[in-house]
Amino acid sequence: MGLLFRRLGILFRGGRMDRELEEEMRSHLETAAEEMGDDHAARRVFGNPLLLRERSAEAWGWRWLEEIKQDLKYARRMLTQALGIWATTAIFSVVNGVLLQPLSYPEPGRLLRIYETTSEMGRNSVAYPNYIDWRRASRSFKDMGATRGDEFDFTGAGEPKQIRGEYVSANLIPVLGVTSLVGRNFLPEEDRQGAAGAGLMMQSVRRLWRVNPGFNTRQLLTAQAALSPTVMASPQGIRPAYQQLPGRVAPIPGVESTAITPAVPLSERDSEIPFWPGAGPQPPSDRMTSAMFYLVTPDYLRVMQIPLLRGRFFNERDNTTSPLVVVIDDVLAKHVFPGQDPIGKQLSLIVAGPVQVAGVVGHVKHWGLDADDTARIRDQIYFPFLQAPDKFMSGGVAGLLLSVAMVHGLLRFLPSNGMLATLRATPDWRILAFGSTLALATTFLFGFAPAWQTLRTDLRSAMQAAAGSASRGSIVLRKSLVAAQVVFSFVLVSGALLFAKTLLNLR
Amino acid sequence: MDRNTELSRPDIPPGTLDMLILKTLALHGRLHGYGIAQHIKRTSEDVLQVEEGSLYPALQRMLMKGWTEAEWDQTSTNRRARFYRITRRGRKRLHAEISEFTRVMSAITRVIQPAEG
Repeated sequence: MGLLFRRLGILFRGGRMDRELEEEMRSHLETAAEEMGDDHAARRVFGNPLLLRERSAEAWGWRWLEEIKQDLKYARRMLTQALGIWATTAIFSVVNGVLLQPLSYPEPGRLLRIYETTSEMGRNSVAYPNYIDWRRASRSFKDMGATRGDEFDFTGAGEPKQIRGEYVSANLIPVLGVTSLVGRNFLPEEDRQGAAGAGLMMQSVRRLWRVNPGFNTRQLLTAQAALSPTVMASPQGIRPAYQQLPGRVAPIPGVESTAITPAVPLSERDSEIPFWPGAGPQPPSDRMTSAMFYLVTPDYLRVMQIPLLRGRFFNERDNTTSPLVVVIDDVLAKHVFPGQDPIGKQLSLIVAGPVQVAGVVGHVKHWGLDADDTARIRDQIYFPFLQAPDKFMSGGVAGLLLSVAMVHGLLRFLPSNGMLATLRATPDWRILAFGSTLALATTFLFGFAPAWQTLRTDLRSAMQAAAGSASRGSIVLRKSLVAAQVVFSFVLVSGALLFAKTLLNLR
Repeated sequence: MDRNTELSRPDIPPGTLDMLILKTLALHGRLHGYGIAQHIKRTSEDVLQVEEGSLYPALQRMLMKGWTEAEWDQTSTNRRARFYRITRRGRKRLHAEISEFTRVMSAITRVIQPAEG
């Protein structure tokens, strides 16, 4: 019973017992050194005090608990540090994209936003007469455009909705250096009260609202990735690069799935490929037809949320060793296989040869919302990246690579006042590289360094060298490292929280 | 002590270190760790030397079992040290260990004497 109580007592004052043991051994060493008259010899005979203390403490019966405590402490520190690095990298990725990256206009460095400031209201929007005066009198600016946000009732496309819009001067769009996606910009003569044509942009918005582009335009980010000339030099370099890219984008916080295509919809960028039905020999060129041709990765359909109408889309098994397959859109299906089930039918593509139709998907608008979906030239053929012949890879199709990512989560933190229009969510490899380097460096510093130090001490002890002073030094080093790690983690977590707070304040 | 003597010094027989420490404390009343090691060395005429790697684990073990108790005090050279004292339970243990050791040693002696004769 007495032993149990003594052990329980040590459980609550283990630290003091350890310090007393350390002091006792130091006293022993000093006495021995004094009597021997040789400090080094005394230490050599004594051995490694750290090791001796650990062996002595085993008698207390709680060594296993102490080890678990140490492991838990270490795990807690590493977890805090990992959380700090992860949170800082994730939040900074968004802050970098939202706040630090330049605006997505051709000449962002030449754009300035001007406000009026009054003592009563603080920063405020500019009164229109003032804008007219400023524009007329300004010598420092090439031009000025005006904009003011408002809420509008939107009707004519299902249930009426209230949407956010902007009153803008006719020259705002040219000042920003951009062009309208559909239709034209305002004309100078339309920039007056009651002028016909006012509301052109609203018409465009209405059209965007009403026309189905064939894919889900929400929660979708596109990021452009250009391969280096060295990688582009051979198909053997390009294919692995394509295969690795989705895996690199996927870990970005908020990304649900990723896909690659050289031509995102509505980008007015695609390639044409001649083909003929069946697996017969190539007919004369005047008897061949053409379709728009897109190389895509298996997740493309899911990312873009394009409806699968029949059959299946691509999967990982569609690779260089399996029979060639394609997926066609419903427009091509109607043109080439009228009244038939196209699944399992064969087409022959220039370069690739005979391919089998594996699925039919909905038509997607690539050439603007006004494009005629029924025109034959708009037929669409999808081809799996993993089966792409080398000639496709090294051709112009592969010159520009676009990865598409569906993003949730972090984007919900973003302000809803139109800033999304200027967001470039290009994956920032520098930040990822910084985070990875930081993780590796800290793992080495806080993980390997103490272990290495301990190994050094043991080795010297085994050689009966003067381990006493080194042992004290190693303790100081370990304590310093732990303190530095705690401070470092605290700074990282605090930084991440401040970033998050900044984002919330932006709302 | 030359190197040959150091190399030829026999190990303390297994299971006897506790007995040696307790006996030393029983004779001297109270001693610190260094003093215990020195006493055993001197009394055994340098034959037995308690390694510090065995001494301190043994002292902690005996403290835990209640065979000894310890207190901090100043040494004759005015250095702070932990002094150990044998307890009543320690004395009982010492007697038991000496009896057992004597019994085993007698048995060993009986075995080896005829062979020498």
